[in-house]
Amino acid sequence: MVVSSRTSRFIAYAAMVSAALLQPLALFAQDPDPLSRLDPNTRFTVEVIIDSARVAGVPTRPLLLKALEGSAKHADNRHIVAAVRSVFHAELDVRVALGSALDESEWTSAVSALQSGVPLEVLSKFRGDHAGKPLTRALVVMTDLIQRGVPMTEASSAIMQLWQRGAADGDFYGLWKNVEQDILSGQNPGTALQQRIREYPGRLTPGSKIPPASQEPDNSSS
Amino acid sequence: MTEPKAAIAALTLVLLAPQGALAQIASKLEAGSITTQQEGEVPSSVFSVAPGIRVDLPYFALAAHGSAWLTGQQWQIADGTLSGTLLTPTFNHLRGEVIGNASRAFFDQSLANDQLDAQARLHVLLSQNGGFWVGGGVARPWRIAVVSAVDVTGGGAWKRVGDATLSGTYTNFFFTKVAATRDSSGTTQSCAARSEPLTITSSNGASLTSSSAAGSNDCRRQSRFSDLEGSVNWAYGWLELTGQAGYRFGDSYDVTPDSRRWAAGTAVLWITDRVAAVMGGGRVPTNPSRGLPARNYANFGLMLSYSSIPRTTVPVAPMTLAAVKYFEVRSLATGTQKITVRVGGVETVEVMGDFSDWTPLVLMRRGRDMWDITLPVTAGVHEINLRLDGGPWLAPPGLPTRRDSFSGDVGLLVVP
Repeated sequence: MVVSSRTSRFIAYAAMVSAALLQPLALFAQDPDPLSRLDPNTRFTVEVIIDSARVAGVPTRPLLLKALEGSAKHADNRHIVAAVRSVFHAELDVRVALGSALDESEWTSAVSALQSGVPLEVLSKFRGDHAGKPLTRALVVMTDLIQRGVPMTEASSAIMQLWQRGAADGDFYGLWKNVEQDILSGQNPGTALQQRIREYPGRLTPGSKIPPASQEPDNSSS
Repeated sequence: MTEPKAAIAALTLVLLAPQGALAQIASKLEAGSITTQQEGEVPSSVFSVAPGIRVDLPYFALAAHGSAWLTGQQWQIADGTLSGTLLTPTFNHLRGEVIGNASRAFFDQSLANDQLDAQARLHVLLSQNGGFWVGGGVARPWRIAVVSAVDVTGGGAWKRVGDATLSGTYTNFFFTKVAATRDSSGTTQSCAARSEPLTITSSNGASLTSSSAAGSNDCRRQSRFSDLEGSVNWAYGWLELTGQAGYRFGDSYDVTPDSRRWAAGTAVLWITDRVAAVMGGGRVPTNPSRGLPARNYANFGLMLSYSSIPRTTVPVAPMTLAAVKYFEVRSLATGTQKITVRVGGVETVEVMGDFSDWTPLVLMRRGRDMWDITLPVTAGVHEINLRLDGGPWLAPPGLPTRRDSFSGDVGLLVVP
């Protein structure tokens, strides 16, 4: 077959364009030894914690990622080890509060909630059959609201009731978005949540006492 | 080499080598055709080459542009403008702006014009996505023999909707015009009632009476008209489209039929992160303050943009999240996520997160202030950080956040 010079140039250009387009995906080839970014002593300590997690039956990847995050942010070795250990302890607490039947996202969001100051007993109220309920989104929004200054009791009360009464993923996101905007506009965080939660009539009473999950009416059919 | 050719060559060299400058620079070199309907005042159709350069500092911008026309076999410099803009920091949603321009039109001795103009504006920012402004100023033509100083007042509003920015302006022009006794539609007008002796200073400084300057049929007239103009700018990735249309209110004496309404469009196609093709065309109305007639135009050009900013020499404030106008994560059909950031005035934008094993990834610049990257990110909750120009790692705007155990925050990205 005779290939003209124009055709061969076209093929060469097409190959170069394809290579350029595929380049970003190549960035994600897994590093075979990601912990090599740590100094030997820190690496050893982190590996011990990861082994402990493996024995305890809690996820190990969040521990590895926390170490890599600390390394990328140029944290000192002491802080990296402390952060990894903190995640490990939080995972043990999450298992006590919610059990082990969690997916990776639920583990991550539950650990975030605990580390943001949500008490174990509040987190444990999310335990039970949460199939079809957006546990991840609920915990992510609660974590953010607490970090933005909403009092922990108000945030956890509102989010948990919203979750127990069958709020959808979009409800949590909408609530968070509105409260965030109000806070950025200068409103008191607690007030912002109380006002915005009223936009969910029949579902919530801000600041009301959280009933035990077992006494909650089943609104899934309504 | 003739003088215009030498000037064009020198300008081109300057525009093609903006590297190493001390501020952010955008330079443009456009070529195209211009046609007018007013025979005798300017060439009816010319080929135009228009270079321009703009230098941006945080609170000051300087711009220069000009054009050269090919008429017959001869190049001739047509006009040139030097502009400066001074901006105040935003305080309580308010921002002040002072704009000054100096321009000279060379292309026709009968329309030769030097002009200085200044405007002040007060901007009110209602949010990151909208605002309005009011302002006023004066334009002072020096050699033009048909209008006095032009008072300009007006206001405008803008609103960002998705990837588009909508804006509308209303501008009043008020000036004294040395008018012919025929209006723009050719109807004979009587100026006896409003005629009065007029003294005009010519380009060589001599004082002329109205009869000797513009003929015995001329008279002096207070003129005013208003322009209502709307525009849409849509920028997405490597493409920017701008369309604008306007209508001029005023009586037939002040508004010529060819300037009653106008429309124009421009497309900017970013070929690389620093080079763009610019093409456009349309119609512009008369500009009485500069003595420019209405004209149709079509052009095509190249824009070279954004030399690097040496942070050690330019007093640029540290970039913060406030500089990020837009952050979006969009799922693509391929199972990947496209992260798009709109932020101007930076040289690098990076993200990292658990999805990259906390390895920083550099976003590609797409156009003036758009950056993006496409990543394979699985469904679930992911931690993500954003960094501008090598500064601190920040939680991207528009995402829930949490503390990161290292004295900072991370964004929590939930991929459904």
